[in-house]
Amino acid sequence: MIESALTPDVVLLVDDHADIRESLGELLQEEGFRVALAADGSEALRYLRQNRAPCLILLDLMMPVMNGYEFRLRQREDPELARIPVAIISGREDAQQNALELQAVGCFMKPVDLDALLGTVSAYCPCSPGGTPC
Amino acid sequence: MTDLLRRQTPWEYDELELLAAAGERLSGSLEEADLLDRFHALAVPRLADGCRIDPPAADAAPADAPRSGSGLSLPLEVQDRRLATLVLHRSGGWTDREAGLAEELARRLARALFLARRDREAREEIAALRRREEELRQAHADELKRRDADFGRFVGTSPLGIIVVAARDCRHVVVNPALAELLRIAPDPERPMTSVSLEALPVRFARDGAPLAAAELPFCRAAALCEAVRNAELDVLREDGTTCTLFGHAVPVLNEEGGLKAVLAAFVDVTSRKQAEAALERADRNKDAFLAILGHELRTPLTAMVNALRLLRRRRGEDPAVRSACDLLDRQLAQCTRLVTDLQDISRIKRGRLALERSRADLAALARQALEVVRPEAERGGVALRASFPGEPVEAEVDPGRIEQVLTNLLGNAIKYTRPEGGVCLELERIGSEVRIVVQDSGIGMPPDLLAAAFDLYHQAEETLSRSQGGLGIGLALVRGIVEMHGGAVSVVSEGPDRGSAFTVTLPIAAPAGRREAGI
Repeated sequence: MIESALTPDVVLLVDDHADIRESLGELLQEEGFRVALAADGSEALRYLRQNRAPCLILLDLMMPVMNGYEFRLRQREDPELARIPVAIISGREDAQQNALELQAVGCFMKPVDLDALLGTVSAYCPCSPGGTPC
Repeated sequence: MTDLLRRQTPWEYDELELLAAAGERLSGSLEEADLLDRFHALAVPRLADGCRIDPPAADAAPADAPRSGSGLSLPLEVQDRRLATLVLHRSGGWTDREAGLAEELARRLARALFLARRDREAREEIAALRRREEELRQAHADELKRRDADFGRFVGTSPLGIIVVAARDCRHVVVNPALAELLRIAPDPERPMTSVSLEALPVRFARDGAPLAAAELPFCRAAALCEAVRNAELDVLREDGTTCTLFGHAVPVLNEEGGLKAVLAAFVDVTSRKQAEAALERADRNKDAFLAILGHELRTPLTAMVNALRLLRRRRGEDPAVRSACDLLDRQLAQCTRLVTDLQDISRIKRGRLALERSRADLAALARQALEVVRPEAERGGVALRASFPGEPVEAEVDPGRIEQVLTNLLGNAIKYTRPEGGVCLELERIGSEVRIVVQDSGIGMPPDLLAAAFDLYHQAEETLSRSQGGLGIGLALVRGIVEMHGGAVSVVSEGPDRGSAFTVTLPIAAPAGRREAGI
């Protein structure tokens, strides 16, 4: 508890579009969450292996280098990382179905309903300043 | 007996014997020459030294011709018909008795000759009838042959490919030159039609890429079933690797007893039409795929803009001018998002990629939600919203999100085409095993010719007006697609321009089994 208060939970945002990454990252920060950014799946994996586990991963599906599906596959194969919850943010028409297949905790169609997204983030990241008090 | 009674003096025995012999001999033949021979044998020399028969003279004297010395001329007459004249010679001249006997014999000869002549005439008549019958038979055969030749010429020169199957087993077929050319069969220079065994045809048949067995060929099926096979499509794979597609009908031709005489099938080459159709379908699929990609690509900038707007509102939202600008951007971004969603949805329905997530839902509650979604728009447009619901919930097995989308679309459409101070009314009622939802407006209405196409994709009521109102012309197509996926139906009525429109959606209460495809 003390440790988490000192180092608040991080939301990992994975999206190849810089404008989306930055605007959504800023919004989450303004709401009081700590945010880490990754431009594709392999960057995200690198982050996960070098840092403390984030409270939630917001994952785009269509990305170069390593897409969201492959990232999720690798993540679930790794026992250290498998339990980190993932929510999908995508513009794909079949995003909902993909989210089910990838066992995501949520699916947000782009453009994202920000209030709903913030609700999910605060539910999974209660120990962030923006989250519900823990 | 009457002849015998005509004589005054009774017959002597030998005379009676001669008359009896004459009766017997002359009744034994129907040949004139033979009769004359027989008569000659009876009469000479028993009664006369010689006898002859003369043809009837035109001016022949009536009966009882004169006796002149040794000659006795006796007319041979029956029923007033003069057949000939019998001339007898007797060197010693004729006594009355002898002349009477000769006369009696002549009567018998006349009767026999008459019968022979009647017989000959009858035989001639029969022969003439036979000849006539034969002539008619020949004429009929000639006519049939001529008709066959005509039929051969018609079929032979027909621009339609024609195939004739003569028997139920369909082993042999006869093809006309047009079809022979399509099948690449070398024409027979002697005959217009080519007779060939089905196995020997230098082609293979297929349909939709799958090879067809002989029994599955439309003309063979028509022969086996003895019934018409219509609208048959047939792919032909030739030996040289080329292909063509035939389209046609096969009909049985019945004989007089109602049995199968032949099957006549006619085909046209629809290869180029099929290719054009396939190209069109490919283009349509490409367009749908393009729309899906477009939708996805548009969502990225929309997302960044929505996020940035939220940041702007957070940081400068207290400034009224910024807030007003943010409100406008919110509305326009929401509209953009709706258009993109509609595009993606119609593309998914057309590609069969939209699955319904059915659950038991209260349609009245869905309608109320839809009304709330469009209320701000109605208020901005000065359009009054009214609704009428039954007292109790109206539950049905539907995809609640999709039905709300249908109602939002219909209400939004009605508001869009209704001028300020007009009204839009939603009525929902349960009728038997269906729910009927009517969205009625007092808007610009539709001319009758546009009503039928109202639900067609990319159709818009009026180019200029709808452009000023925005829209892609897919909202109503989407409505129809979703409603039909639910096993329901949509319709629209309008009494004409400026008289409003009423859209009706009917949905079954229970989910229909196996209905997924929507006809857009």
